Amino acid sequence: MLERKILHIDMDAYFASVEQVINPSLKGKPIVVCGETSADIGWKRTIVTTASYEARVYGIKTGMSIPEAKRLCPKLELVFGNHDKYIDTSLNIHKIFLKYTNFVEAYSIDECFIDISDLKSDPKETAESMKKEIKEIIGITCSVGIGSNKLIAKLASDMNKPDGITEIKDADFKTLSETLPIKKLCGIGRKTENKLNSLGIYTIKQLGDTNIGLLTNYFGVIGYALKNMGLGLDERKVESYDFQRVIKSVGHSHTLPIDTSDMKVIESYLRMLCEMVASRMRKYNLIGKTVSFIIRYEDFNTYMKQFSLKDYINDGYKIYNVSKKILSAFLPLRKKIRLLGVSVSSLIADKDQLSLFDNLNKEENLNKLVFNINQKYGDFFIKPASLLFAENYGIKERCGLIGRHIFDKKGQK
Amino acid sequence: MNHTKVNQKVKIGAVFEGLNIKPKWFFWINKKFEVKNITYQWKSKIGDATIIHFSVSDGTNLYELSFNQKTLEWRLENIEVE
Repeated sequence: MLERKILHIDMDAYFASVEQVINPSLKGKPIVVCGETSADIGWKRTIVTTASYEARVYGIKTGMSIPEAKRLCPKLELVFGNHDKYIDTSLNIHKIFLKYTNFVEAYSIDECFIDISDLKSDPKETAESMKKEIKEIIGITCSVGIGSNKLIAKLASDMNKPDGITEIKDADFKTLSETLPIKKLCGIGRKTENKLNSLGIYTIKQLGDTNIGLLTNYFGVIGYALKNMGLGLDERKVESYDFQRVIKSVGHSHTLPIDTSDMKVIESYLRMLCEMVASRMRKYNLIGKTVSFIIRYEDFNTYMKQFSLKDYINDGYKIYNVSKKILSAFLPLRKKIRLLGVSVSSLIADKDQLSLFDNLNKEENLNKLVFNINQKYGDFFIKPASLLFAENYGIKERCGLIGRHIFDKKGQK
Repeated sequence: MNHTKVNQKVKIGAVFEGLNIKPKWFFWINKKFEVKNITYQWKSKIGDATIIHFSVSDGTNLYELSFNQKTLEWRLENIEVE
């Protein structure tokens, strides 16, 4: 079989790099992109989303609190993130890749897999050409990994950051795997790493050499996948750009601007989340019958409960009623709430069947009308009055749907 | 670097060249600001309206202007002051 040629493109410090292009005075400076906040709330409820390479020199990392980051680098500049910017930029980067092939799979907002097996050119030259175009058109850099599958390409892109190109040929994988730790493999998180370490497995080669029986004994069917990862094997193909993923669940969760136990605010916020979920379900033409509810208290203890219905729904009010029922199991609240989330799963396509009951049709027609108006004039142009409690609490801006998933946007283009 | 949200309508002078739009100056609080440099441009959506955002500099400060392609309204969204 012919060796495939897969590229993994990883934008370097993506959000921070885009901000440094937008504001040239930030170039060469330690900056972090973080969530927007207000003077009264301060920096307590936001974290570092991306740190520029200049900030990373001081040990600043994604997920760090702002006071912690500021302690490491007092001259650190803070920039409020705006996902619209990053999503649009990401789509413009995809356009560059699509000039080469249609086998472009967006892996995340700043990562893509590209299958260039059909191209006659040398993979390194193709990667260089793509990098050059991104630099010229967008103004930012990326790191490219080249391999015969996704696993190896992703491993390679991480080896020479920023602005590098690394190719791992199949023949070289074995030697490399002798020294590379297992955590370098995409898919091995801290828990799996600790478990493997406890079995005496530290390097990729050791993972590949481990008896399959031992791995399946400890990890079940995942053991087979782990063995393959250790051997550098990965059969997953790069999907074409227009491939539509099967949506398994639609959900939203968000941290409140201030922890609260005020039930009016909590219920209003819950309604807002349910309306957002319903709106996206309608956009995708889906109905579902399992509602999941997530609650995080001020001490970060997090609980999830779900409830399955007999009927399929995609009505915000119905989702809200189910969520409220689940919420009632947590009442009376013993602690303030930090985060709430709602999602709907067990999804099927909405065939738009008419109900035998007139009242239900009227309700559905009204929901559709509101959805169509909001599609035309913007989310929450028409909204339930009860959302005002949440908005007065400062939730609207933080929860203003700015971070819509990239695939929503792909569909709109 | 000070970030200020403005979100106000502004009067603007722009050049439309085919599909490209280039803001050249804008009036805000009775003062004319010359656009010396467009540093970046991106799009967003509000309902079915496409909004084009421009990050522009007058040589000193950075401004975010937005153009609603449906209502043809220009707004000054944010200012970054050194």
